[in-house]
Amino acid sequence: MKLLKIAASALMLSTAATAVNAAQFEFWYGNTGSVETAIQAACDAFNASQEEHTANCIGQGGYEAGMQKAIAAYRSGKHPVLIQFFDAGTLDLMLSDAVVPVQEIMPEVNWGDYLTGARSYYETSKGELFSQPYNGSTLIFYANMEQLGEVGVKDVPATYEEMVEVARKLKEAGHECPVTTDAHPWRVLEQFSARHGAPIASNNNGYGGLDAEYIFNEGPVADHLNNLAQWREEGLLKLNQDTKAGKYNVAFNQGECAMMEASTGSYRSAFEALGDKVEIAMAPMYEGVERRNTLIGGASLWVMKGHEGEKLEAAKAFLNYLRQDDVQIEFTRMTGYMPVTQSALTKLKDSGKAEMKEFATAEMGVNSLNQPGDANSRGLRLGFYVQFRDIFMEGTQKAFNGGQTMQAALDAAKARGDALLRRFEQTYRGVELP
Amino acid sequence: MIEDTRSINTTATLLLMAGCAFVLAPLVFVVITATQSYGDFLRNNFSLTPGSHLVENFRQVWEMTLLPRQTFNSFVIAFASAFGRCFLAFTTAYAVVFFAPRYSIFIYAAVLASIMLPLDLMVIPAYQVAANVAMPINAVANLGGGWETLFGAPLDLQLNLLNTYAGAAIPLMAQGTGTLIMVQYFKTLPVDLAKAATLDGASPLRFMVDILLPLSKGPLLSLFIYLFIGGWVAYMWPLVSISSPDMQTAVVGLTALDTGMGEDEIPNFPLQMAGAIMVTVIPLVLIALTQRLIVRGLILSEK
Amino acid sequence: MSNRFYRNKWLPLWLASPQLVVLFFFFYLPVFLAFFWSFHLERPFGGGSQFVGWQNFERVLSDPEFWTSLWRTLTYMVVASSTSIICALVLALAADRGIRMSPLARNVLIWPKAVAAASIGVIFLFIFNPFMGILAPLNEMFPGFWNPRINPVHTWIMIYIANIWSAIPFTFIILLTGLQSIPDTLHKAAAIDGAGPWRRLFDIQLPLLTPQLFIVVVLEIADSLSGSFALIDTMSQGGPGGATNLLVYKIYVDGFKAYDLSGAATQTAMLMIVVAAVTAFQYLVVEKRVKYER
Repeated sequence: MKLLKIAASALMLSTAATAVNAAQFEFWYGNTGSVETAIQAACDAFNASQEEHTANCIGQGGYEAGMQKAIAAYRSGKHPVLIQFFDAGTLDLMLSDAVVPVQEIMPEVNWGDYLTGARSYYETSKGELFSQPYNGSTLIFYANMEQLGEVGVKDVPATYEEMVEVARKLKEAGHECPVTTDAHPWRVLEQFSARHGAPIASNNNGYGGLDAEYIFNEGPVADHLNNLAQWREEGLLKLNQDTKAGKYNVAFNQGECAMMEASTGSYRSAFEALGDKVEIAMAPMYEGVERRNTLIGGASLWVMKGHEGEKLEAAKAFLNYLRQDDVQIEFTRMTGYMPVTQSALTKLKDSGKAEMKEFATAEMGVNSLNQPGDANSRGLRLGFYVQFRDIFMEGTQKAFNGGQTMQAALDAAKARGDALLRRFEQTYRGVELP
Repeated sequence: MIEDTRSINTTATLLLMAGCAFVLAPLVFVVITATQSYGDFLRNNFSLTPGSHLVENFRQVWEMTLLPRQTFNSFVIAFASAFGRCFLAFTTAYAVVFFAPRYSIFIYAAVLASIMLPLDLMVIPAYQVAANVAMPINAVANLGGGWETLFGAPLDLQLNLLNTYAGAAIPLMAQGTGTLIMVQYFKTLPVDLAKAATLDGASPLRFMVDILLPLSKGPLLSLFIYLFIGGWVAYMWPLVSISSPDMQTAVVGLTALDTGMGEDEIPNFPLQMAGAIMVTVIPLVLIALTQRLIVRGLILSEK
Repeated sequence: MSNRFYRNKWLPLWLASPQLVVLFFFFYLPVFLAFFWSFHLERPFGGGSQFVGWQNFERVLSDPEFWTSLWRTLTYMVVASSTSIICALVLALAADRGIRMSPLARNVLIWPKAVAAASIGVIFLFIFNPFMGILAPLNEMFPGFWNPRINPVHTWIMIYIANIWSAIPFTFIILLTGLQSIPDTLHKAAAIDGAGPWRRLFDIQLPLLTPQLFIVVVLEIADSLSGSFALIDTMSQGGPGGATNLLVYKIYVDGFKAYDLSGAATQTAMLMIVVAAVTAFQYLVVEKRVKYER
């Protein structure tokens, strides 16, 4: 009898242990601060909402550290089921053979509900979503209406021509910093060329294959950068290093500068500092160019290879949970990121909350993402792109500071970028771009 | 001193005052920034007017991080790595300085090379090693399919040090600064020390434990404090090798204070500075209290 | 070296073996992996690693950016270590004089040791802010007098000063203890012989300080290499226009942020070779001049 009891309890213990193990899965994310709080809240809510699965959500202290750990963990077979990666790492993951496309393992989901700009950035050439968009942001335009009002301007400029006109008025009125930017490639290269339908590289920015070459050094992007340099000479535009604050968005928040192009994520601190004086609009266009969608920034969720059974089911349940409208809206409220599906946005609008400060950028940002796209506004599939961003930044900053002409900087960046692309192509020889 | 040295002493005083001012100014700035609120900071950027949010910032740091637990982790990791490094430094330096075989030169060179290349540069391969320390054994055993032909399957031993105290502390020990310092110290000891001990009938190990260790108490203690603080402020390795927050060190735990929207959010510097103060207090107090010991310990021979 | 008294053949190896084991696992094995990757084109997530022989090295060696960065790194090692050692030496000589200020200074001057390197960068960035920092008044009188965000020379000055601040404690303490262990009798005897303070500095203090100076030189050069990373990451991110992009920082960015394992590993291998050369120079040339005997 006693023996039976022991055997029974041992059996119960072991089944309990397997049940816990099977239903528990790890999710690694990179964000810190308020976003981390929101992610943890979502995890707790998921764990409380059902009893079958347990999400074990582990912060890695940054996107980059998260990616490094995932790389090392994958190489030693200790990787989690679910992982969050930032936008610029998309191609590396797609080619890694370490992830499985979400649409492939969850064909039943209505993936068409995801916003155009979000989908195209994370989908394969066949239109299959590789990862589930999670925290999304995009580029919008900010203006300090109090300062614009002082020179009689009532509307946020919609084109660069208007922006320059307003900037000149401000300058004539003695304003020292009408426009500010950091000229980071995310703003002046990626988002600019996407919404102007201009290519950064051949092969539709690499979507057509790894043998792409950079071609931004001629055409709209080159013109725009030359314009930026010229506006700076004229005293209409300040870069980070010219502002008192040292950073463009700080300079805007402190009222030093009147207008800026910045991520939807900047809204919270801008509103906190300036209140109702801040007004936002879609990022400006050059006149005569048709507006395309902007690209999604932020990060998405990837399912890593090598997990199956209940663990995978648990991860799927978690992805489904995060996709729910209310969960997205709550995440938006806590973080300032945008909802990434049409239905969540509709629900937000219907609830009447869209006007609230927490949700102010959601509609504007989503609108910008949902503009009609073309082959050059889908996103980027360019190898070693993070390194290229540094090269681009280094060269153009030298040009802004007077070390070389802008054209020379762009040509040099193209040449160095192409060398990176060729090496990337060689590294992934024989791998088909999905 | 013998002659009249007033002008020299005045100069020296002025120099020391300048040095202290140079060291203190940034610290004062940290404290002032920590007293401001995020709102103040967004409006004024950095400023030298103290605010009134010091306590509030401390409270917020306390709530946002797992400071008590992580301080304990820091203590364990810093203590273990410092103690380990002192032990390794002592035995290795003894082997290098007091023994005749010429190969000890190569041991010393092998240790010195590690001083110049920080672990931070090798984070990715070091992580792979820590993920499975048995990796080299597997690799050797499976060379040319050796193990497989003998036992039917390739050897696959697993010993994962990630997310453990050992995995955080041991790699920090793979750095030869302590050995260099102990070697330099041993070289200044009287030449006939070992000879005299041998005449008294002491074996080399006895000499090490009974004579050399007591003689080295001072330098070892100073070294320990120095390395303890080094382990306390280590950033990159704990960040990478530890994945669960309740195993993380306090210095790394402060990253939870970043506002976290990537480069578009303005960091909450007042909060970060408040956090920096909270994790700096322990090493700072340690330094201030043991300063005499440190200086005395490193004095190679008494006046 | 006359301390080499014991003739045991294997005992020293046993004594050193714990350290050698630790070094094997967490220094030489990672180094080996880095060298391995430098001869391959390595995909971050593994799989499909191709042996490419010297191709990575050829590419790195023919890249002018690499050579500029290497040259910058060497310059930085020399300037950063010598400036911090000289500052600490002057302070140590002053503190050695046993004046009223000494005990306080001895304590305060080692405080920076407790501050994490990343915080140091943030702090000094503010102090040298062209519009709000200590040089702002000069900027108002002479516009454009000081802007480390645009002028690389200014950026370097800022980084060197931050480096001195963080390097003072260790260097100062080591040098001070060295000075304190010089017997007073030597000073007195020299003074009686008519040697002035300057004369005694060069004839007694500095020669007898050589063991400590040697430690400090070796460690400061090493530290300038590894410590530069946190300073550059927080203060300039390699800018303006790449002017402060040291090799250590470049390797970090290529390998850690851009997943270019092979490129980063190749540059690490090159850096190791340089470092080995510097270390060998220190031991083969410099250490010969160190006086251990008293």
